[in-house]
Amino acid sequence: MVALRRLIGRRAYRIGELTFTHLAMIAVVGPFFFIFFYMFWSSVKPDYLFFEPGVWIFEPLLLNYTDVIENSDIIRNIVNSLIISSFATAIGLICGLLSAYTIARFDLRRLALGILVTRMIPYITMLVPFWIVYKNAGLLNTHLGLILSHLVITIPFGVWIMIGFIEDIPKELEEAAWIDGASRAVAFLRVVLPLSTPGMVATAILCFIFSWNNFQLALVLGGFDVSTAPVSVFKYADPESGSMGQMMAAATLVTLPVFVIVLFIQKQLTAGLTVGGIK
Amino acid sequence: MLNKKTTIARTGLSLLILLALAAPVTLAAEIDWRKHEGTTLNAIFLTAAYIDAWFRPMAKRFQKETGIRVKMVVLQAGQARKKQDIMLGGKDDTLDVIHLQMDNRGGKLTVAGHLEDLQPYLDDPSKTPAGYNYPQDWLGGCLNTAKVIKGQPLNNIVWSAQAQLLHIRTDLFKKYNVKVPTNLQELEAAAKKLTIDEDGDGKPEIYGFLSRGRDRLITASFATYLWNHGGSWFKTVNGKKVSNVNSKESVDAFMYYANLIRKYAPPAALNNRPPANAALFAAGKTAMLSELNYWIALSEDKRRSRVVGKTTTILVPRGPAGSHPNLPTMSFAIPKYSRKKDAAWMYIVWMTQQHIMQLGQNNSVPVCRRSVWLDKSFTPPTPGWGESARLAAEYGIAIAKPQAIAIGQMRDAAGEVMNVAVRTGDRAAVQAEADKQAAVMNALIEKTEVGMNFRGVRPADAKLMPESEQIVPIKADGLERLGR
Repeated sequence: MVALRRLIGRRAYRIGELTFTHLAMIAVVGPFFFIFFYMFWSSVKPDYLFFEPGVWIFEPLLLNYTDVIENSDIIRNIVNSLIISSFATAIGLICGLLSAYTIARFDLRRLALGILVTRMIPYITMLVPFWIVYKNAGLLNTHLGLILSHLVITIPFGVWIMIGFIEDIPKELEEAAWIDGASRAVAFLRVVLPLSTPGMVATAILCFIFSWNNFQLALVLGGFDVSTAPVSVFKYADPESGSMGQMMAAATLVTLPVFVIVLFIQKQLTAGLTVGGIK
Repeated sequence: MLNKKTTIARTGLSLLILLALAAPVTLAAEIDWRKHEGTTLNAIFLTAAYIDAWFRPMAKRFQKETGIRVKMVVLQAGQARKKQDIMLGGKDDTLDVIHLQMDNRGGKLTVAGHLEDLQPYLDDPSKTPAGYNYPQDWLGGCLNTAKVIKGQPLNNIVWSAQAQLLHIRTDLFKKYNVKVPTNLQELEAAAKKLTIDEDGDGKPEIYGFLSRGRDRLITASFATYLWNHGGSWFKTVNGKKVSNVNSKESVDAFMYYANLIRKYAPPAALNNRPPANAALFAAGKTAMLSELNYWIALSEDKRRSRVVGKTTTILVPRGPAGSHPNLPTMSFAIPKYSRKKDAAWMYIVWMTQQHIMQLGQNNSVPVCRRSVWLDKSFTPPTPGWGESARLAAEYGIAIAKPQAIAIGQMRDAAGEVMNVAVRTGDRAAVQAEADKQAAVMNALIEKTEVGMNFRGVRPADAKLMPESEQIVPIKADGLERLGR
C-alpha cells in the first residue's frame, strides 16, 4: 500500500481510495435502494408497461395511488400501524432494556434462553390460542389487543439485542457512580441509560420494523375496526386482484412512513454514537 | 230461515271485512327496508377487481337506502378463508356476512354446520320481496354450485358467474387471417400461427397463448380443458369416490394444456398469477388469454391497456367430450352464529335484487340473474363477451375445483401433475406422476371424507351445451369467416 501510494502520489491514491469506497458502497447498498425505486417507478407506470422494464420514459400516473387510497382502508390502517408499532416498540424497548440489564448484570443466562425460546415458536401455532383468549378478554379488534400481541415480537427482540449493549458497558463506570453515592437506580439512569442510547435506537428501529411488517397477528386478532397496513397491501397481492400498479402503489404507501421514520431515527443513532464515556 | 239468511249475510260480511283487512296486509308484504336502520354489519370479502369497482359503491347506496352500515374487510382469498375459518370455528357472533366460493370451501363449511339455512328467510314475505324470483331467475350453471353436497340446505345465495373464457385479440386474428378456434385442434393451430417472431431473434414479440401455468392455481383454468377432453378430477367406482386424474382422458388434457403453455406461452406463464397474465394480455404481448371473464374490464380500460377495442371473448373450444365451461361462482352466506342474521339477509337480498345486479352486470361484473343478461340496458363490452359469458353461466360446470374437504391438498396434487407435464412434455412421466398423485388424492378422501356425499362435477340436473352454441360468440363479433 505504502509503495503504491509512493508510486502514484498521495493525492491520486486518496482519490482512488475514495472512488473505490464509494463504488463498493453503491455495489452493496445500490440493489436495495433500486428495489424501492423500482417499486415506486412501477407504481406510476401505466399497467401495460409493467412488463417492459426497459421503458423508463413515460407519462407518470397517480391513478394507482388515488385508486388505492379511495378504495381501501390503507390510510386508516397506516395510522393504526403507527399507533400499534410505536407503543409496541416503546414497551418492548423499556422491558427489553430493564430485562437485559438484569440478565447482564446478574448473569441470568437461563432466563435469557427462556425468552429466546418464545421467539422460536412459530406465530402460526399461537394464533388460535391467542384468538380464543382475546375473544374472552374482549381484546379482539382493538388497538390494545394488537399492541399486546406485538409485544411477543418486540420484547424478546429488545432483550436479546440490549443484552449485548449492556454487557459492553464497563461495570466499573457504574461502580464509580456507586462510590460517589449514587443508588443502583440512579447509576442506571445517569450512567447506563445514556451509554445505551445507540443500542436503544438500533433496537427501536428493528422492533418497529418487525412490528410494522407483521401481518398474521393483525389479520387474525384485528378486525373490522382495527387492522394494520400490511393487511391492506396483501389485499393487492391476490391472484384475483385488479392491478399490478395498484399493488406497487399500496406497497410504496406502506413503506414510506417506516422509511421516513428510520431515516429520522438514524440521525439520532449517529448522534448517539458520538456521545458517551466509552467511545 | 231468516236466521239462516242472517247467518249467511253475517258470514259473508265477515268474510268481506276479513278480505278487506287482509288486502292491505298482502299489499304490505313488501319488505320494510328501514327495519334495521342503525345496524352495522361485519362482512369478509375475498378480494377481486369488482370489489372496489362495485361492492364499495353499493355498500354506500345500501346504507343510504336502509340505514345499515356494512363494514367490509377485503382480504386475499387464502387469508380471508383463514380468518373465516378461525371466526367460524370459534363461533364468533360478530361476523355477519361471508363471501365465499361454494366450489372451494362450501363443502367444508356446510359439513361443519357453520352456515345458516336461508330457505326460511327466502320463504318469508316480510324478509324477501315478492319479485325476488329465486331460483327461477338464476342461471342454471350458477345454481349447480349453490349445493355442493347431496341433501345440503340452501345456505348461500350464488350471485356471480365468473366463467373461464378465452380472451382473444381480434385485430391479430384479422391481420393474420387466422380461424377463430371452435375446437381444441384449431386452438393449437391458432396459438402456433399467432406466436409471432417478427424480427427473427428467436424471441417472439407476441405469444399465441397464455394461461396459468403452475401449481394449484392451474385447477381453475385447466378445468375446462380437462372436462372438454372427457377427463375429471374424480369418478365414482362401486359407489365410492376415487381420483380420476390418471385416466387416459385426464392425462390427454394435462398433455394438451401443458403443450400450449410450453410452446406458445411466454416464460412468465410459469410464475404468473392471473393479474400478471391479464396485464400481459392488456399490454399486447399475447394473442389469447384463457382466464376469467371479468378480466375484460382490464383489457378494455383505456388507462391501463394497449388493446382497447381489439379484444373479445369466446368459449374455450370444444374437445372430444364437448364444451364444458368452467364456472367459478361467488356466493353470499350468513354464519350461523351471527347476532344480526335478519339485517345480514336484508343485505344479501338487496345486493341480489334485479336492478342492483343489473348495475353490476352493466359494469362487466357477470352475475347469475338471467333477466339482467336479457335486459335492454345491458350492453356487453363486446357482443362475443356477452354471448360467451351468458352461455357459460347457463351451461357451465360450476364445481370447478376438485371437490373435497381437503381441497387445498387436492389442488396441490393436480398442480404437481401439471408441473411435470409442463416441465417434461413426456407422456410416460406425466402418467407416472398422475398415478402417484391419484394415490395421494385417494388417501385424502379416505382420511377426510367418510360418510360424505359431494354432488360431483356435473350434477344430474345440469344441461349439456349443444354443439351449435360454440360458434355463437364468434358469430356475434362477425369473426366466423376468418381463416377461410
